[in-house]
Parts: sequence; structure tokens; C-alpha cells
Amino acid sequence: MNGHVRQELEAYHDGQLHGAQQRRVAAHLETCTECCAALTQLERLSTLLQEAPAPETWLTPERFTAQVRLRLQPREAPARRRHHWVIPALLVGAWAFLEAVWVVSSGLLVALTLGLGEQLGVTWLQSAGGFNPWQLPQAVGQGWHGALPLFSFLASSLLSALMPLALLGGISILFWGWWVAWRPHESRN
Amino acid sequence: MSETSTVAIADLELIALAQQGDRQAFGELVMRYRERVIGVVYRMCGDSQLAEDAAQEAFVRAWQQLPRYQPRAPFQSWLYRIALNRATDVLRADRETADVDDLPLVAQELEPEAAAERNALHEQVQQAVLALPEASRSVLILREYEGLSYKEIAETLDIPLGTVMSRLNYARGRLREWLCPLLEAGT
Repeated sequence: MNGHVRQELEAYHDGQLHGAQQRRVAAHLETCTECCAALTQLERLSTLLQEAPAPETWLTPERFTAQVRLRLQPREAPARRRHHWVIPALLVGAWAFLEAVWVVSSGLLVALTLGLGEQLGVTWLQSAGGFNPWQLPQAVGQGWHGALPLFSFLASSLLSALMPLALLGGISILFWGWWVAWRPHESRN
Repeated sequence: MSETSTVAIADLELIALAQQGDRQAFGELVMRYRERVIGVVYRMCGDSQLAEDAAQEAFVRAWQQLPRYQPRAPFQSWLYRIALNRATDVLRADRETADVDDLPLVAQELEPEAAAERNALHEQVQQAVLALPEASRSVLILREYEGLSYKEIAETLDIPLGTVMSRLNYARGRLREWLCPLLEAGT
């Protein structure tokens, strides 16, 4: 068997060899009757297999196709995929809006606290009974009566600081929820 | 659903439309691949009526799985894989076809005299093919009847190239053995 090309013979027969490998097998076949006989067997087997008739079909192509189409279920998935960006876009939009509101309101609060409301034309924002943090020492000296505006100021400051944080946290949770729900669906595709 | 003029539209366009739910486009794909899919299933199970039913089911499955189809892989290979899986299901459900255990029987039935009649010869060849293990049979069918390259067969069946070659070698070796009288008669 030494020098024969039995290993490559099937690939040669199937047209799967190229270049030098194909030329080497072809050159060997010109001189080796044994390998030539093996190739002839392969060719004969292929002919025998391919002579087998095609399957007899009972349905016309049109009838076959019509029957397949009747069994097709409508699909919702493509519509869902087409708009898959809407949820994250809305969440990112809401996040950007809240951030903008927070920045603007913080700026205004600082401006009002520094007494720049009039220059900015936003004096209407100052409430009549508002608390001025610069008057904190006097407020403490006035006992409960003076402390009420202080508590009110602290509560509203805390609320205004926590509200954006809570909303941003909520948006983040919704975004990651979408990501977890969507990602496995996408990776299957 | 958009009404599609399907005349001379490339497969890829039809696939894209079908992925969006266009049944008419999918119907055109069925028309184009019907014969090949029926052929593959028939060679696997050996019953033309069963093959036609199984091919229809294969197309229905293809429709269901089409949104997940990536055009990187050839559509034909993807479809063949579904058809072969369906054929395997059919074979599991109906074990009347030949089994690996029947091999000596098949070999005995292959009398050289029977080759005189063409139909009998085809019947013998088909019985021998059906007697092959499913894994080797599917590789042989894709190569001999569908003319797929080794690489395409590997992609279709999701197996390594070396496995394609070894299964093909095994299948041909067994067929040469069982069909020896017929092959020699043709000398």
C-alpha cells in the first residue's frame, strides 16, 4: 500500500482536492492500476446511487405550497424586534430629562440662596415664608418658633435631593430589567 | 403583510421578506426548495408519501425558525438541516424502515440475478442506503444526491470536516460491500 493514494481517493472523486494535492493524486492514478480500480469502484457506486429515481410526489408543487401556507402561523416576533429600541430610548430620555431638571433646579436654588434671584428675574420663585439658610444662627436662637422653617427647609432639601436619586434608581432598575429580559432573546437569534 | 411580486427575486430578498412575516415570499421559497427537501427526506426514510408529509412539516418548522436564521449560513444548508431533523423524527416514529441490525439480511437479499430488472435494482440500492446508520446516511445523501461539498455538509450537519469524511468513507465502504454483486455485474 505504500505510495498509494487511498486516503485521498474519495476526496479526489468528490472534487474536493485542489492544487498540488489534486495533481499528485492524478499523477499517481496514471501509473497505479490498484488505485485506478478503487476509483472506478467509487465512480460506479455513485452512478448506481444517482440512477435511483426521484421520489414520486403526490401533490403538485402549487398544491404542496398551498398546504404549507395554510399551516403557517402568524408571527409577532418581527414587530417586537423592530421596536426593541423604544423602551431603552424612553428610559434614557427620562433619565436625561431628570438630570437636566436636577441641574437647573440646583442652579436656581444656589442663585436664590445667594440672593441672585432678582438679577436672574426669578424672584417669583421665592416663597413668602421661605427660610434663608444664612439666617440659621438667628433661627436656632428663636426656639421652636424659629426652628419650624428650618425643619421645613431641611425636609424640602432632603426631598429634592432624594427624589431625583429615587427616580434615577427606578430608571436604572427598569433599564437593567429590560436588558435581562431582552438579551437572552437576542442571543438566541 | 405586503403583497410581493416574487418573479425573479433573489433568495435573500425572499428570506428577508419572509422573516418579516410575508407568507407569499415564503411560499415562493417553498416552491424553489420543495423538490430538494422532499428528495432529502425521501432518501432518508424511503417512503415518498411520508417524505412529502415530512417535507411539509419541515417547511412549517422553517417558517417558525426563520426569524432566527442568519444569512451567514447558506439557506439551503439551513433548510436541509431542518429537513434531516424532521426525517429523523419520522424514522423514530416509524421504525418499519431498515435498521443497522438488518445489515446481514440486506446483504443476503442482494442477489446478482435481481439486478436484471431495473426496478429491482433500484429497490436494492435504496434498501442498502436505508440500512446505513442515520448519521452516515445523511452525509451520503447530501454528497451523492444533493452534491454538497464536504464543507457544506459539515455546516449543514454541524459536524467537523473530518467527521464528514469518515462517515462518508464508512457509508461507501458498507455500500460497496453490500452492493458488491451489482458493482461487479456492471464491470
